[in-house]
Amino acid sequence: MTTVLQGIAFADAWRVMAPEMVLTAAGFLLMLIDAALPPAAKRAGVSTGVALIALLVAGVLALRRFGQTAALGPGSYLLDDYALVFKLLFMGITLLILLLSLDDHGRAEGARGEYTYLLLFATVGAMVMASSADLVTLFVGLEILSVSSYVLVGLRRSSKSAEGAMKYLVIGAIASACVLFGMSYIYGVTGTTHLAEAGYTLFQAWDSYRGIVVLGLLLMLAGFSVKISVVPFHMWAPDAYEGAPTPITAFLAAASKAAGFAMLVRVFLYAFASHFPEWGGLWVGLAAVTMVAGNLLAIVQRNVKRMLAYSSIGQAGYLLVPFAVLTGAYHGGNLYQDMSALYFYLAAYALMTAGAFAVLTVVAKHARSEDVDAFTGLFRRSPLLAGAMAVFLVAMAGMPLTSGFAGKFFIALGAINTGYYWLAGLMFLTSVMAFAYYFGLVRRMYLQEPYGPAESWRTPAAAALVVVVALVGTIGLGVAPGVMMHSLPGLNWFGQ
Amino acid sequence: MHVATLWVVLIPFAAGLISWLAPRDSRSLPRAAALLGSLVSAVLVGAMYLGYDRAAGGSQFAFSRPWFTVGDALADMPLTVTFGFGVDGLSLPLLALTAVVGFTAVWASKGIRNRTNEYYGWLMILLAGLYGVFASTDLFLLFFFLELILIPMYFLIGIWGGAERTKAAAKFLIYRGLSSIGIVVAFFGLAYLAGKIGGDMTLDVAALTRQLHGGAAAAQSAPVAGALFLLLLAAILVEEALVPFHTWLPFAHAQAPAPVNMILGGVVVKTGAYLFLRVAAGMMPAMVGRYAVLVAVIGVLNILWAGLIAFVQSDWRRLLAYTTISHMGIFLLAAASMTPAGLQGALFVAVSSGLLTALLFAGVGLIGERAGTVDMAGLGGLSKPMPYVSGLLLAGALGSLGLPGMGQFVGEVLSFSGSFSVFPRLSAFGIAGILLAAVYLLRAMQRTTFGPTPATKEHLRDGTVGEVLPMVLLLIAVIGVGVFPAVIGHTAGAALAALAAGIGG
Repeated sequence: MTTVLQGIAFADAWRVMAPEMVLTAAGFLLMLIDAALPPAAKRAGVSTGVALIALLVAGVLALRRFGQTAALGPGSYLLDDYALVFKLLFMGITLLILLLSLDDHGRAEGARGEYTYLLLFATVGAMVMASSADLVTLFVGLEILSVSSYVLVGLRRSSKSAEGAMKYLVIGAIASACVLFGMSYIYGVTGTTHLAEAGYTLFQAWDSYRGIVVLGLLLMLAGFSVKISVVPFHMWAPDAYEGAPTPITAFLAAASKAAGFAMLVRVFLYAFASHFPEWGGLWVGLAAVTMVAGNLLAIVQRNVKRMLAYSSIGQAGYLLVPFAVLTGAYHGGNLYQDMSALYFYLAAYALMTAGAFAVLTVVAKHARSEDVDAFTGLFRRSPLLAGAMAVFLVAMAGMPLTSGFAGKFFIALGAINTGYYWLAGLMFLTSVMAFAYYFGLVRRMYLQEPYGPAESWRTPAAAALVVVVALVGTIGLGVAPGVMMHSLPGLNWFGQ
Repeated sequence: MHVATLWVVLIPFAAGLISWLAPRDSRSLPRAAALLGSLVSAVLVGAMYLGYDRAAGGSQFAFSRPWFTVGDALADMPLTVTFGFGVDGLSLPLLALTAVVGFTAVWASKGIRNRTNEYYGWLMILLAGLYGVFASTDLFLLFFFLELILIPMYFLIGIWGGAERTKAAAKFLIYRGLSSIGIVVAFFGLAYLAGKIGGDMTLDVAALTRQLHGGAAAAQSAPVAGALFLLLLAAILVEEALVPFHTWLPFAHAQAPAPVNMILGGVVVKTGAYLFLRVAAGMMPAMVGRYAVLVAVIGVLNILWAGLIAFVQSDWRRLLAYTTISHMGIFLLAAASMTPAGLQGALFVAVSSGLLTALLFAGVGLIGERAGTVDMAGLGGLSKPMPYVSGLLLAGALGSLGLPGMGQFVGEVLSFSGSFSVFPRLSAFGIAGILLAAVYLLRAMQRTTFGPTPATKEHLRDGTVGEVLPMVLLLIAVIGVGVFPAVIGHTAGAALAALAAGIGG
């Protein structure tokens, strides 16, 4: 490895990973600023400003790379459109989270400089995961994201936050260990950490070393499943979500999950594609179980954060469907179409999730509670928040005029195309089950009068901006899904 | 390109948005916007009805734009979803039904006094959704509007309903939501079936119908076609609130406010009938043929079951729910015959039942407002203090049990003449159910309007001209259909004859 790294010229590295480099530099700059500035200045949002500028610059740099392919090392770190679309998604989410956090800073105890640069580092980790085509760089990215996230979850100084962070750390570490253990078997059989090369070797090794390969595969599958909170590997999510500062919860639900999917698809597609039919049904089963369990468990939650946590588990089930049908089908799957459906729904899901958590942030601040009761009669207190939340919930339930409807349609088409009628049916069935809690919250907001005097609640400007952006995106993608869906399948996805 | 059909959907939508933007609890502006919106769209529907070229037939006033494309939907075939609207012989009668019931329901909403801007907003969105269902020429769009209806209905029942409103709203949502699953899987399944045979992926109704008929032998004999049909049938049974999936309707009717009941019983329930004619009979005639007896048995079962249950209802709204269910039973029995007469009868029953249900709910709503109850046990002798309302209610009840001169009579005669030719024995049972309807409706009228007037009810005010106007309009419409059946018969005739011949709408 060292020889390879020494051989990389800066110009090549810049070409492939300019956005990551910008964000990393900004992160280190923020560390310095944080140490140098007096406490009063830290609250003025200097750090957030620097981070926002860095994200915008990185975003522009990423946009300019579309259609190009390049690699660092012997194809260990790739620049292709697959990586780019995911990177743009991560950066977009982080942008929204930073805006949302602006209001959170005001009431936070102690200095929060670390909050901003940890968020940037976490984003870089996610971006590395999207670009990695080598087990080593992949694991590095995964750990950058994970370790930053552990700290971020524990930032709120309360016992809940500590409990959530502890659970997340322990289970996350076990998952990382599983991934690493699985990787070691794959390396042992193939003699390479490079995904595509491993794929070639595994094609032949499958028959002679099936037991070991399957063991490695299952260990990696379990580890990845933790990261994207697929049932039965979801236990950490509700506690971590509940304990974390609300913007960080949104980051975990949107960006971390998207990063998990980016890594998962790349690894399994590159290394194990040759034998999909023999084990791919596993993902189909996981998707089905996750949809059902996530949505069922969400029904009984009274804490809105926990409810959204289980809801996001259910959504992970939907998100898994495009990849699952691709791996599970003996014939007829269409890679680019399924990737497009996955990405469309991920983007739609990220927007609704960011929006819903933005509303929750404001509501929880005023009501001093994250209980469902805080939402009672919200339409009297703030028509904007109630209306926006209703749209996000309805979008998660997959109702028309929202991106959720279009996204489920694309995913269902993919499932039916490969003959998985029952999986498409199950998607819609679990969506109806989910009505119970999505509309339960809508009911509280609109069908009940608020407890006590209905003073109106002011929405801070930054949070309002996040809500409006998410709202426009959610409705826009629902009314004109073609905006995204027409260009996605034509991308130079994997650089071939 | 003709934008008239598009406007029919957009105008109520716009009126709804205007109503929402009005100040909270303001009453005049939202009501004015809703009245104007529903009137203008109704006039447009009327103009299209008159302007429809019957000789030419087919889909007219069509507006179609590609909405979005899924690049590789089936293997590498692209699927273009169109934003397509248009009217034909099947959709026009139902659009007209929506227009009449929609306008009268808005008119009858004067009694709503809280959160009026939201109320009229949701009511207009509901109307836009219903127009959209009947005017869509793309199955994706049709499903889109079908799902859209759930949201305004949920709020209309849940906010302005009776004591158990939230439960009723949730039940409505769950039942109709579940039926959507069957519909969406059946729609996509049909598209894939057609795509594999016809070599082209589409959700356009006309193209899909053509493809499924073009490769008739292959499409109709595919084992998956039978499954898709049964799935669709189950969904339609929920949509139409047919036994055994009916319990949501009486519950919703008993909780919803009167104007919402007019639309719910008058139009929302009829979307299932439209789906049966448009998709089941139009695209899978062979499957309707294969399962004809099953469909007919379900129809008769509903006529009888609803007739018997209606006897023990003392709440007018629940009684009317079962009346609707029995009408929909007649619809299924007639449609299952797949004869020209039976299909005409089915469409007639759907339209006239919609008008009559709306009429009866308007009357019952007025009585409830005045007397404070719609339970027959607490009513009686209303013909003395409220002669106009009682008279109109009686007219509606008589129409509903099939009095000659009204639409329902025509519908039932056509229905049974169609069904007798195919299922003579089953139809005999159906006729018995019709007799039940006569008995329970007249008994209900007798308990409500005749007999001695209780002292508490002696001073009830009769409906004012403005209040009974919706009922009068609906009565005129249903008599119009009964006296001039050609109004529907000529417009829909060609489309229904094509259905009966098994060559699609």
